[in-house]
Amino acid sequence: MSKHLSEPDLLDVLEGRASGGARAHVGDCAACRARVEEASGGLERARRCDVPEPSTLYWEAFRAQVGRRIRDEAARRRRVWPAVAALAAGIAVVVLLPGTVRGPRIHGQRLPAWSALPASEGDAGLLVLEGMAPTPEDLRAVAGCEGVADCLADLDDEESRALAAVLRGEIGGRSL
Amino acid sequence: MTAAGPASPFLLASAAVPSASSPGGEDERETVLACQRGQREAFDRLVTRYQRDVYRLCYRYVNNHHDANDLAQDAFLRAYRAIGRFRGDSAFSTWLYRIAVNVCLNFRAARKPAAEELPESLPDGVAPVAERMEREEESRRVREAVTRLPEKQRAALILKVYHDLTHDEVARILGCSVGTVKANVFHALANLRRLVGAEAGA
Repeated sequence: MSKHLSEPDLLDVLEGRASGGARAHVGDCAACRARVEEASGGLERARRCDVPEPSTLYWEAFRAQVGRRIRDEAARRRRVWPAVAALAAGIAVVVLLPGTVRGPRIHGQRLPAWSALPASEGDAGLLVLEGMAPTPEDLRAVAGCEGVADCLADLDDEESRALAAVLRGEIGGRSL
Repeated sequence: MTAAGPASPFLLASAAVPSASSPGGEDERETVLACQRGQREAFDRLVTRYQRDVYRLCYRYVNNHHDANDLAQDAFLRAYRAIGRFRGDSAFSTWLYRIAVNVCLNFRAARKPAAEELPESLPDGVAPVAERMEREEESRRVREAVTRLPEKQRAALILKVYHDLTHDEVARILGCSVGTVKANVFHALANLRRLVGAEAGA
């Protein structure tokens, strides 16, 4: 007896798409034939099973619900946009500051404003950042999200691209 | 989207709906383009066309109306958000089914399944299903059995048997090879037979 057929080949036999060789093997091999018959029994049962059909009225309600959720989401996104704009402005300030504000010097070396080192009390950029950054209360009132991370997480691809475009415009080609 | 060649033994009367088994056509491409231009009414037309198929796909996964309703709505909402990224590389229905399958998989991953999922294969030798059985009761048991199939087998079975997609289409939706789809469908059918037989004999 030749090697047993693989599952894809056995399915081809079940579907009537198998080669003559595969069909002949199943005819001769009791083990493969039993597997095809078993799967055929599963298919027969699967075909007799249907999903309960909702009423015609249900589909109208379904369409209406999908439409309402889309409208609700569009309205929510309109509320998010002011926060996104404020966020863009804040990020732009962070990126632009190194070129306009003298940062702290440690051991004689000038640090960029985005350094991970602790900010110096004398860093004038901090005052600007504190003034620009939206507070959680601002975000909640304007956009309905709890923080910057929440607002960003809610953005879809199109809005993320729009935010990137706003940032590019505000930063004026400076590399991020 | 029906495969060329011999008539598929998988086709169900209830699966022979135009949305699942026919190519999108010019009208549908225009509708999708209108959606991408922001016409919400165009999306309503797509919902009308595909709501039954998406609902039924979700129902097969969760086996109850309430969750199927929620998941089908979620699938359309995600499709609406992402419609701008649909490039027409596949049929719209294939793209939409992929979204629906992902919604169902995420749902099932996020909550403990009501029924314990089967191992990848079941032992042979279980009692055969009774010859005479009330039709709805058998339907219920088969639906329940489908929800207990391993994830990949269930997805392949639902798309192939209940939506009559080609192996190639199922492979594109599930992101795997045609051979893998065929193997999963075959195992699913065998497991279904054993499971339904086992329950009938219990």
